Amino acid sequence: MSASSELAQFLADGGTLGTLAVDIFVDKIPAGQRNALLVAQYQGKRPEHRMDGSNNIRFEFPRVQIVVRNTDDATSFSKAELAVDRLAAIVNQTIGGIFYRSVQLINQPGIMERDKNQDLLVSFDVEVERRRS
Amino acid sequence: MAAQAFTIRLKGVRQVQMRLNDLAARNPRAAQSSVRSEGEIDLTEMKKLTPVDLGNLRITGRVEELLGQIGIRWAFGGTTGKFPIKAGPRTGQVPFVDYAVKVHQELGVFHEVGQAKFIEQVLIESLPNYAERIGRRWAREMGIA
Repeated sequence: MSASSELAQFLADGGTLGTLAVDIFVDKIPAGQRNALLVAQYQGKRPEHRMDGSNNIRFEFPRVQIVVRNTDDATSFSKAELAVDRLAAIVNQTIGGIFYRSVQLINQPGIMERDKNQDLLVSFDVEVERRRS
Repeated sequence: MAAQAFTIRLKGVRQVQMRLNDLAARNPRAAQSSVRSEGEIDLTEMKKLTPVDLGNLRITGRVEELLGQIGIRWAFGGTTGKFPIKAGPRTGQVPFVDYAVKVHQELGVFHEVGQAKFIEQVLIESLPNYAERIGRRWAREMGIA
């Protein structure tokens, strides 16, 4: 699985942000879904290779973007802050069967845009330190 | 398995920092010039990755110097005030770009030219070598390398 899938499930498991595939989505928000939390992975730093002669990847550092869209502006921000708290607390733990060394915040939640429905989109990014599955 | 821990001690870091601060304080112009010159190189790379469609986002990219301290920031959006519109009903007006954050952050959009994260991607690649680059340029400007 990708880091975005694992972290989306992790956020859903917290119980306060929503349910996977209902209002928490991976990589794409379905059309027409106005209240949503999106978890999307993109390229991060180069991975760390093993030094045992195999050159296999040991740790990888993908970046993950969280976007919260809601019909209520305050809810967009409060859900983003809840997601920050939950993700930033990850350290040396297993999520979805994968060892996560840390999840570090790259930026604070901020306004990304106001869409055609005037719903506020708030986003922030994190860097993941994750053992290669 | 029992938990393992180890400690690494680096001696002299504070002295090195003080020495660098001293050099920067005595030669702020050379230090700032080096930081700015290296920042301009990265700005060029950022502009290569900036999506281009109908607007003026790419030309708003700039290096801004920080007031009262050595350092820069890269900025996109707003206006540079240098490029008034040359034709059409808005001739003479300076375009204002208010969508830089959206274009930078929206991962799901396909761009024929450029990509999202056009600032961040360049910094991910350049930051590991940034201190060394600035140091080399600074040393050249100071005539010590």
